[in-house]
Amino acid sequence: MPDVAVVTDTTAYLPEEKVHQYGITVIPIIVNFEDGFIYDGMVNLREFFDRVERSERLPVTSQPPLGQFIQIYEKLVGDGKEVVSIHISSELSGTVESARTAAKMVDESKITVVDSLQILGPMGYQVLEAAEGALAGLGRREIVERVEKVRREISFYFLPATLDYLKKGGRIGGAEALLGTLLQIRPVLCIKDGRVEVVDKIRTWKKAVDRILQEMPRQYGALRVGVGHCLAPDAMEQVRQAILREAPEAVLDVWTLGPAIGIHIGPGAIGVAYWPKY
Amino acid sequence: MKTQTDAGPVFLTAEDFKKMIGGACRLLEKEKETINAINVFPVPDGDTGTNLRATLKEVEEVCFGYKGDSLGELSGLVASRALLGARGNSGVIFSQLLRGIARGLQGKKNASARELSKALWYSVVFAYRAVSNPVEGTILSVGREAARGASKAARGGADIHGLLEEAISSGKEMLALTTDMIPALKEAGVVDAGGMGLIIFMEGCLYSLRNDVGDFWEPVGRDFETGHEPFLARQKQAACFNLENIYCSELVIKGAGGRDKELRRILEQQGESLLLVNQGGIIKVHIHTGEPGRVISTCLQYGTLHDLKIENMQEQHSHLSTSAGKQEGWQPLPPKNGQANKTGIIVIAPGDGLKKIFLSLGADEVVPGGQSMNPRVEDVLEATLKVPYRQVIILPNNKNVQPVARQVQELCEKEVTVLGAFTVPQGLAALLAFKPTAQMTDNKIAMERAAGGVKTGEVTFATRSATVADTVIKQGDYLGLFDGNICSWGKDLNGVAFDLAQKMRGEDDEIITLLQGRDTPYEDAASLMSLIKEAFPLLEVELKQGGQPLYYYIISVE
Repeated sequence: MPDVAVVTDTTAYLPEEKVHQYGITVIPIIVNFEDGFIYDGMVNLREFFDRVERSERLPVTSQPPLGQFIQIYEKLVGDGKEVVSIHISSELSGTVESARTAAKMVDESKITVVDSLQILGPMGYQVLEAAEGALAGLGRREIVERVEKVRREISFYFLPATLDYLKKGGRIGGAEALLGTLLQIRPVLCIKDGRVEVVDKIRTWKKAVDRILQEMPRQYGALRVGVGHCLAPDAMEQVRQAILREAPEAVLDVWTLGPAIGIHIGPGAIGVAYWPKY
Repeated sequence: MKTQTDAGPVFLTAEDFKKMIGGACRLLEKEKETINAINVFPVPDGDTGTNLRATLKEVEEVCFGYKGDSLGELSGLVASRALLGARGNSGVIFSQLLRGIARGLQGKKNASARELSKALWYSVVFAYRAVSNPVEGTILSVGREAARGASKAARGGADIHGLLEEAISSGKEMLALTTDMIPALKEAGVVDAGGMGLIIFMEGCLYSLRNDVGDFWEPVGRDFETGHEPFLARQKQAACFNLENIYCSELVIKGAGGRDKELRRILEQQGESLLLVNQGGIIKVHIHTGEPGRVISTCLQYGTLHDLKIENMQEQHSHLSTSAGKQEGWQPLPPKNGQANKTGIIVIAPGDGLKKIFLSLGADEVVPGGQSMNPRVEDVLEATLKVPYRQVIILPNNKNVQPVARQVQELCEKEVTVLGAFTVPQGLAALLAFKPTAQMTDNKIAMERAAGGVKTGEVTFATRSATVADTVIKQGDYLGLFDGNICSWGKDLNGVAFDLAQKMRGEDDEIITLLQGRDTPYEDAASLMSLIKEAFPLLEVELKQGGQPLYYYIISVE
């Protein structure tokens, strides 16, 4: 059975050591300012938002160029490997589309592109599952099945400090209905079927956090929880502590977050991913 | 007041009935302010007089337009019109009284005193049935005693005049007793306003029938003051949030005949939210109970049982809060097969600003109405029919609007749910908790729970002087109400509002929302906002134009 190589993009923001440990190929999303671009994941979030503040217009994100996928797939297939390529939700980015086109052009019989229908940690868990499967010597199909199982099991909730960034970036999805709201609300959002959807409309931060805690699965064999933030370390720490109190046995990861997702959810946002294993 | 008169008619005709309604309308018009003026607390309240008058006005139009000569037919038309035009709690009860009369006079061209007295009994039965939690010491008691008096008179061979006289005098005796029957009335030293409205109605009927409409009317209102809605509403409110009776049970009984009254009495002891309809001997029962088995055994004694359905509302509730996050996703996808499965939301709210806010939060229709501005049943019904959905949730947002919404529920063929949201902040909280994709039962539970968790503050003025906790509140003073209870007062609007906000604020609260009233200058509202911000730097303060009359501020703290 040929070795399977795992490919992903930067929006999972995998920890550096995991990338090295498993030999994962990470393709960067591109963030375009009016006066140039940066590669996602290579700029510190604080510096990034400093630059955003200095810019007249918000930067826009774009999927990695098709050529980059082709190059990477050709190299891997050329080395006698098969490829599982897991990417940011197709509802939020054209990355999956580019990857699929490239796969067709290189060798469809050796490459499977998986639409993670997620971002950040929830996508990262899928990538790590694939990498572990590859390390264990599983075949491509089996790895894809495992990834899809993780995709079904995971749920992801987040609290943006404002809906402005989602709106300006065009990724607001089901939360669009909340835009004209005349009362201040703290929407509890989720990524469902790849799209941003509204879980609840809550008026205060504390209750919104409680609402996310309420969504914590109650029955599982093991629970893995990922938390992340966009320039809101204190808020995230509170959430982390609350989760530890609620589910002390859970494995808790803190995920970093980079410019490509940061610019869409905005400073002040926090997110929580639940991955119950049955 | 005159006593025995010249020999009255032996039969009541359609013409007489018209005359009676006309006379009652004129007398109510004359006395409506007297009824309005009597409020349990010095807060602008339900406008019982105006509501009764408005309800009667609708009825009068029907009378004018009727060209036939059948008393039964006319009273039927009057009853259905009253049902649609009913305003306010007392209006709704009043319309039920008229429905009962129509039931009693059904098929009759004329009616004898005995027949009329029987019809009055029907009216009492209908009225009691309409109220989910009948409270003695209200229009209900007055109506019942009036019917008892009429019945006594009829048995003694009285004519129509004599019957009405006896009904009025028995009703009045009861009315005087209402003060001692309801603590709120006693505290204020007044009688029940709805009950007084009914007496005035009957007197109007009698005087016009005797061609006697003059200045003889001595208003009882000067000495007896009251309105009973708040008391009633509080009791209802308490019932709405009770989750002890967790089994929603529905069933149909066949072969029970006319024993539904008796059954109702028994079932009332076994749960709440009882709905019992008898249609030609087939009884439909809906009840929230803690002991569904007991309900079934009871019903079995009345006939055969059909279409049994028992749902654990608690389970639906827990399902809502824990099923989330599992692998199949945490919410069903929105139905794609048209709009029939969606739920429409009708909101009753006073003021343009509030209308905009409710619409922005997802309400489908906003009907103007609220404190002292009861919407017509017809308007709410129209809005309910207008939304293209089969399921409709009504947010009354005022205790006095609740009965109007219930009436719509009864009249409308759609699946209408009236939510226990009794204030504007409660309505806002409930609406935020609404999920378009959730089941009606789950939505009801989540929305009422949200409504129950909100603190409501209202700043208004005293319509008359009163003593609260040994302090005299002068007419015209500003009043701060915290969940309906007076907690601050004074001559300075923002002082009262600030004090109220301070009392409402709990340690965990994060945001305070000020809904500015129609008559509140923006500068006042803005300065109140900075006052609060200064005092509580950690609180967020949101100021919105509510545009509501009577309330300078509606405040919620969360």
